[in-house]
Parts: sequence; C-alpha cells; structure tokens
Amino acid sequence: MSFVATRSRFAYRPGARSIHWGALLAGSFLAFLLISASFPHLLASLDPLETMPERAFLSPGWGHWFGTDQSGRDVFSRIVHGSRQSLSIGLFAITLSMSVAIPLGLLCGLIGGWLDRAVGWLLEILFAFPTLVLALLFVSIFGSGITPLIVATGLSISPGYTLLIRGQVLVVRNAGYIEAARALGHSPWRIIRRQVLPNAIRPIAVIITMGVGQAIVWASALSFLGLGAKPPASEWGTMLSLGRDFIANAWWLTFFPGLFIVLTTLSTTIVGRYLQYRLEKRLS
Amino acid sequence: MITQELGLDKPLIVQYAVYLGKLLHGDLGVSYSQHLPVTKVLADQSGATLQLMVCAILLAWSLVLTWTVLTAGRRSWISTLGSFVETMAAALPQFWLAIILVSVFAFGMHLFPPTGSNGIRTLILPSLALAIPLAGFIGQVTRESLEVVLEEPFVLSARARGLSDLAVRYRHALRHSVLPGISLSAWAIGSLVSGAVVAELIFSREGLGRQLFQAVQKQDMPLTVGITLVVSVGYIAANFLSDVVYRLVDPRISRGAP
Amino acid sequence: MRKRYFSGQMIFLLATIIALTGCDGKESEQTSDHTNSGPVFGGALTYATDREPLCLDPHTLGDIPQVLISQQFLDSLVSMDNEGHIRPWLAKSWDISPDGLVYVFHLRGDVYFTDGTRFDAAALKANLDHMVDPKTQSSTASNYLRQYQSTEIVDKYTAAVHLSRPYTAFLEVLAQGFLGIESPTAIKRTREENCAAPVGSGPFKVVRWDRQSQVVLERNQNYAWAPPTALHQGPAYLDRIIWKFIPDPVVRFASLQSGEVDVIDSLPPEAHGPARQNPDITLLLRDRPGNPTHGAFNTTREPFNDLRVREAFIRSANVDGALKSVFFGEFTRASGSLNPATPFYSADFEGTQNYDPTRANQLLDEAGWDKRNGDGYRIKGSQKLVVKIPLGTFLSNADRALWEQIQASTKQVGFAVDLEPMSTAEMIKCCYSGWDYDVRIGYWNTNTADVLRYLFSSSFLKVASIFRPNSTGFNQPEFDKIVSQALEAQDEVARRGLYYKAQAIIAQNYLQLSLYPQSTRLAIYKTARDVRIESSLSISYLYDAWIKK
Repeated sequence: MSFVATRSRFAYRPGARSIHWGALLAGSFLAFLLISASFPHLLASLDPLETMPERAFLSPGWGHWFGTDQSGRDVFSRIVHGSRQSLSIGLFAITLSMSVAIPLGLLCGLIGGWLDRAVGWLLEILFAFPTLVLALLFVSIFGSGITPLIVATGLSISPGYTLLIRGQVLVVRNAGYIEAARALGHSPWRIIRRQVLPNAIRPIAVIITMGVGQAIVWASALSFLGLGAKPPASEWGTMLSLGRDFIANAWWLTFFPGLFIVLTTLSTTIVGRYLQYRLEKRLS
Repeated sequence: MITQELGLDKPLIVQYAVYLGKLLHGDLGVSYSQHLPVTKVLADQSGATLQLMVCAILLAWSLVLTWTVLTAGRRSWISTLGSFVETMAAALPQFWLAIILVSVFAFGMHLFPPTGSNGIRTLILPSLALAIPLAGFIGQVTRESLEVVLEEPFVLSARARGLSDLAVRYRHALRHSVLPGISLSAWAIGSLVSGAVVAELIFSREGLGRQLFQAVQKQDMPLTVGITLVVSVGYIAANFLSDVVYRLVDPRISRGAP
Repeated sequence: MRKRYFSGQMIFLLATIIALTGCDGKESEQTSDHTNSGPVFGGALTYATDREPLCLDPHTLGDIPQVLISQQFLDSLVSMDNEGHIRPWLAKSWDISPDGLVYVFHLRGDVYFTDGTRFDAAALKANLDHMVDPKTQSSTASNYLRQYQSTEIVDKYTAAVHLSRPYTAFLEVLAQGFLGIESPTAIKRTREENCAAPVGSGPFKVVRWDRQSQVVLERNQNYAWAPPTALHQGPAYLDRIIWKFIPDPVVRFASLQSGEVDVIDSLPPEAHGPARQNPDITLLLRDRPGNPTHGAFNTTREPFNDLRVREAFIRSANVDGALKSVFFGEFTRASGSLNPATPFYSADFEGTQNYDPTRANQLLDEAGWDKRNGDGYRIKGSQKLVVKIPLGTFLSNADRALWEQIQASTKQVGFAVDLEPMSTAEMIKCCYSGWDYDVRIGYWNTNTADVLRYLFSSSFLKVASIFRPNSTGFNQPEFDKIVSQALEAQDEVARRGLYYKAQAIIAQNYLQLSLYPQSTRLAIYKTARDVRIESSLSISYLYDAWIKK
C-alpha cells in the first residue's frame, strides 16, 4: 500500500539531528500503541462493542474524542481496542514472513550456485506479483477471516524480504573482512558462524521494525476490501471500510482509523531508519 | 448443470491438466462469473488500468521533479522539511488517500467528477492517489543521489561558470541522479497494481484491479489466473522498458563507450 | 369462458405514486413542471445503478439488476396498474377456462421486435419454453412457471397456455419484467450472445455493453405499443439511455449532485437528508411488493428448531433502534411476512415482532437455556447459544451495521451471534443450497402473495439451480394446503382469507425476523423529467422520461 525502502541500497540517510527528534516522536507513538494493545482499558474506558443507537453519529468532542459511529459506539475506544488486533496481525504476519524469508535467504546466499539461481528466479517471479494480488490469490484459496488474512499478508510480503536477506548475505560474503578471515585460514563453517551470520542478520531488526508497519497496512487493505476481520471487530481497516459510506455525514469514522494506520507506518519507518542509522554508524 | 458445463465433474487433476493444456495454446478459458472468455475480459479491461498506471507514474515524476529537485541540498530546514514530506507521502496507504481525495475534491469542492472511466478529468484523482506515495518513495531515493551529485566537482565547476542554480540542477545534476529512481519506478509497478485494485473500487472505475477483486470474491479461478498473468507480463515489460530508459538517460552509456 | 377486455385508455395516475411514496411536497415538483411545459424529444439520460447484471436477459438466472434494465427494452404480455389490476400490453385480451387450467391469449398483430422479427403466438410459445428450459438456469422465471405445461398455437395471433394446476397468480407474474418477451430469433442464439444483447420489442434497444462501466440503449423508432399504464404512446422521448454501474453508494450520490448523472437508484439512507435539502434533486421512493428483508431462522437444527428460542431472538433484536440510527429513520419497520405493497397484505401482523427483552429472557429460561457463562452468553449443559449468521457480499454497509446492532442487542439476553462475512461461492455452499447457518439473510421481490409459497412451503425445499427458496426448512402440510388452495381459488374474498391464514401461521411460528420492505429509491436531477416507477415490481421505467434542456 505504501512504499518503504525494502532494498537497502535505496535507503537514505537523513541528517543526524533531525532523526533524533523524529525517532523520539515515532518511538513514543509506538509505545502508546503497545500500551493500548496490552492494556486498552487504561486508555479507553468506554466499551468498544456496546451499541447505543440513540447516540449514533456524535461528532468529536468532550466525552467522545473521536466521535461515535453509526451504532453509537465510541470511535476512540474502538481504535484503542482495535490496536491489539491490528498490531498482532502485523506482528504475526511479519513473523510468518521472516520464518520463510530468513532460512530461504540465508540458504540461497550461502550455498549459491544452481539453488540460488533457481530460488532467485522463482522469487523474482513471485516478487513480480503485486502484494495485494498475491494476497487476494491466497484469500481465494483459503477463504476470508483473520487467519487467512495473516497467512495471506505474511506469505505475500515474504518474497521481497527473502531477496533482501539474500542480498545482504551476498554483500557480507564478499566483504573485505571475510577475505581477511579466509586468509587467516579460518574454516568456512567458522567464518559463516562468526562473521557472515551476525553481519547478515543484524539489519533484520531494521527490516522487522519497518515490516510490521507494512504488514499492518497490507492487512488493513484486505480488511478494507471486506476480506478480513469479522464484525463487530474494531480492526482499523474494517472500521475504515464500514465508515466510508457515511463520509458525507461523519468524516471521523474514516479519518481517525486511517490516521492511525498512517501514523503506525510512519513511526515504524522512522524508528527503523533510526535503527539502521545507528547500526551503520557503529559499523563505520 | 453448471458443474457439467464447466467440467467440474471431472477429477481435479484432470481439470488442471486440461486447463494447462489450453493455457499453452493461449486459451485462458471462460470466466465462471461472467460467462465470457477470459481473454475478452482482459482485452476490455486492461486499457483503463494501463491508463491509470501510466498517468500515476507521470504524475509521480512531475511531483519529484518539482518538489525533490527544488528542495534537495538546500539549507538544513528546507531539506529536512522536504525529506519529511517525502517520508510522510511514502507512508500514506493508497486506499486512505483515495478516500480523502474523493471526499475533499469530488464530494466537497466538486472540482473533479467522483467516478468515470473516460476523459482526463476522471483520471486525475485516482492517479493522484497512486502517485503521491510513489512520488514520496522515488523522491527519497532521488534526493539522496542528488545531494551526492550536487557536491561533485563538475557541478561546482558549472556553478563557477556562472550558471544559475536552476540550470545547474535541471541541466547538469538531474541527469546523474535520476537513475535509481527510474529503476525503482519499474519495481514499483507491483505496488501500483495493488493500488489500482483499491483505486478502481473506490472511484468505481473499470479495470483489471476491480475485476480481480470480483473474481476473488466469486472464486472465479480462470479470471483470477488470467489477470495475474497479465499483471506479471506487464511487470516484466515495465522492467524492460525501464532498462531502455535507463540506457537513454545514463550519461556514461549515452556518451558512447570509450 | 369468462371474457375480460380492457380498453387501452390511459389510466395511470401519477398522483397515486406520490401518495404511495408518502413523502413531502417536494417530490411532487415533477408533476407540476410536467403540466407547465410538455415533454420534448431528444437527449440522453444517464442512469446510475449499483449492481451490474451478469446477463441482460432476465429469463436467465433472474436477479433484480437484470430486470431493472430489461424493463427498459422488453415488453411484457400483460401490464399491471397502480391498483394491482392486470391490464393488456402485448396481449390485447385473454380468456380463462372455468377450471383455471387454460389461458387463451389474443395477441396484438402489429408488434415487431427490434431485429425485425414479428411478435405472434409462436413467439410467445418460444418465450415461455425458454423460461422453463433448465439450460437458462433461471431461478426466478422458472419458479414462477412451475405449473406451466405447454403452449398451443391456435392461430397466428392466438395462443392457449396450458397449466398443470390452477394458478391465479399467473397473470400477475406475467406482468413482471422477469417474464419479459424476447425475440424468438434472438433467443435461439447462444446463451452468451443473448446475455450480451437480448432483443425485445420495447421502447429502447441494447446497442452496447461496456463491462464494468455501462450499457447503452437507443430509442426504438417504430415503437407503437406502449402499455395502457404509460403516460404517452408512440416512440420514447429519449434518444438514448446510458445505464451506468457505480457500485459505491457515496460516489453514486456524489455523481448525481454534480449533475454527471441524471437519475440514481438505491439511494443510500444516509443520502436522503442531503438529497431533500438539495433544490436540484427530487426523490421518488416506492416500496416493492413481496417479502421484506429478513433473517430467516433455520428450523432444521439447534437452537432455532425451538419456537421459543426463535421468538426470544426476535424479541431481543432491537431493530427499530438500528433503523433509526443506521438508516436515519428513512426505512419503515416490517414485521409481517408480506410488504404492504403486496396484494392480500394484512396490517394485523405489524407489531408482532416488537422489542421485548424481558419476554426474551423468560422464553430462553423456559427453553432450557437458563444459565450463562462468564461472558454472559447462555448455555445449556456444555453448549453455548451460538447463532451463525453468514453475511453475503451483496449486503450494504448499512445492512452490516444493522446486523451488528442486532448482534449487540441480542447479546444482552445471552445470544452469541457469529457474523461471518462470506464470498458468493461460500454463500452458495453453506446457505443457498446447504443448511449450514442459523439465520439466512434475504428478501424476495414479487407482485403476488404467492411469495409465501416459495419461501415457506415444502415444495420449495429442493434446490433449483443453485438456490433453495425455502430458507427456514418450514414443512407444514396445513400451510402447504392453504397456499395451494389460494392459487386455485378464483374468488378474491376466498384468496384473501387463505392468505390471511398463511400470514398468521408464519407469524405464530416466528419463522423470520422481518426488518424493512425492499424499496425502489430514486434520486432525480432537475434535468430529468417524468421518470416513473412501474407497478409490477416497483422498478424504474424510463419510457415516458424526457430531458429538460
């Protein structure tokens, strides 16, 4: 849905000063999300599921910060309670995609040869499939619902990550310090264990951070298309999709869930970049 | 009755073999849900999606060529603002952007028609929804390379010759810094197709994206596979095209090999 | 034989429509304008609807979007006026044998289809045979013609239709667009060709269908056989109709506001307020006859095989609250099994489904669901009171919100409602042909009380094509007898009595949670005049429409 540099050669390095403030703000937002996902009652006291038809479509104000929806439910409470579902969809999806991408990427990068070419070729083809198209294909096979949603999102973003990790391994493999280790007569296995793996894996923290945001966006896109969470769930994409009909009467039903999706991706991107920046500074 | 007509009474493996056989002969089968040959659906719908994507790429590049090229390598706060806007744009989900654009510019200000598949005016909002995040993405990359190029000796000497800042940026530096952006544009086709699905649904436009969504909804496998094939072929074609453009623009190549 | 004959005088009263819509004075603006400056020929009218049909021939499949458009290019054998009386159209007159088994139609001799084929008795025969042919996969027209046996060509313009059993609703269903008459030459083509461009004798003809976008209809210059219910005779005023598909309700309404389209249907409830305030837009609303939008209980399995649990669900569903909030009070509540616009509807069954959580709790206790688990859901032994309700893709967001509110309000008394979004393919498997649901959401638009037979009699328990009309599994010989007697009774008072009994049985058995009547909801831009709603299915009819320049 949105573009985040998943290929490290495209990643850009902003000035050091600006990134600190940005990372601080982004980090605080992510912390807020984590709290709302773990302890939603701390932040929102109203029941996200209780319908009160007579209180429908109240605009944002005191009592209802983000207004109420078509069934009189508090939008802020729904977003806070929905963050658990949205975040866990993102986390599960990225975990799934990493558990595919890391072994496969390492294998290709390390072994090389015909295996690398074969897998690489397959990955390029899968990568050519737009993520949403791939996800829709999975949905058409597994049906709709939360689990297929996670599987579809996780699997459809994994080709990109596999290529990324494979590339990382290749970079490390051909790096000067490996040559040096080889010249020192270290065994290949020792080199892989002590040099290649740690250096190749390190950027993965960055990838995962950025990937969670991406996965949330993809999952909410599927929910937005009506293929995800079941009602009365307050998953953000579903909220946005159901609120869309009322955009002329109640803009807040669409605006706030969307805003949270945007802020989440933005924050994970900024924090991910910050991690990357710190990492590169340490290496150099 | 339906099952016999579609050959669904045969074992799955036989159906699959029959399907593959037909595929090799260029026969994509008949769409279950529309009772039309898949090739006809593809022929009817590809144009609108292609138009949308080409328009989105052109718009994205015009945004990059103004915003990024003008703000890169300036005083610190301009650069920071410039790159923040790009990061922000790149993080915007296309579906949300599409909804916001249609609400503000079509429902609210009545500047553009909210729907339609014909004419430039109906193209602008949906392609903007796809172009803005893409521009953010290309912009980040272009800014990075532009900021490197602006420090190069040949740029400094151009400035020393008294060329204006704009001339330096557009005539000299730009050519050396658009390359990553160009290869990225082809890579972004995938994301654009994903965006086309939602944009076509939100703006009620015709096109492959909406067809794909409906095919999935109705579990119409021949149509789903057909559209996926076209998209993949399109992706490969776009990559080829970007290689060509790359060669045309690349200063090292176009000057002729030494 | 009794002879019926109607002269072709214009009996249509626009005032009746306005009275029926029950709306304020603004809706009548069109009429006054009509008297001030007369209709003019020329221009194209753009009409935007929500769903694109899979096939333009309404004999095939038989879904509402098909008949919405085919009403503009197909004529029917007979027409129906605002009072529900059957009037001539392509048939000048007809005789019915005393036993009700033979209908002899005397056809007009001056009618041509737009492909040049002449309309005659053989054409009628070809049409009726086409509708009942299993190959057309019709779930609507063929269900309406189950009693049809054969058509005998008496002479060129006289046809005798033989039925296996008396069928008093026969003429009523013939008036519906689903049974529109097509060119016999055209229906001989392949199904694909006929679906893409069916040929009728109507005031317009199909010229082009751009999938996902629009169908273009052009005026039939030779048209001279308008129904007596029309406002004028001769060719239509419009040169062209652009029939657009705009699935998104918000976009559809916005297109009307900006004047990009002249008429939209399925106006969403949230747009009624803004539409009333807009001086450029008039509303034309009319309830459709038939069975209201409902959730039908699956009586073949737990928990709804128990009458008390069914009533408890109905009593605990706060439908009125939902209609007020999600539907902005624009949709009226239905409680019975027939919409008010249906013949033999009785108002006695309104109010039989009122919200009463106290009674619901009491009923559930009586039915043995007397304990609650930690989440507040009722349990019987180790079993939780789960209600599975699949949500098909055809449901609007407003409908979804309505069901979410029902989910929340029935939770108060301890129902665990499971709303499951499903694709069309999944819906066919679980619900349209299978029994894997507790509540099936649906409605049925038709102009006869015979709809009760489709939905609740045991003869519709078997699956026709992919769809089983009887979704409750209700199987009661007494009910079956009443609805088949009603088809045989020629006397109107007797029919009324029988249909009253049928409605009573359905109400007493709490077979469905009725929500609201389906309706045709048009919003019309100031440029379009005399856009009408016909009476057989309350479908928009553009023959009399014209464009004010």
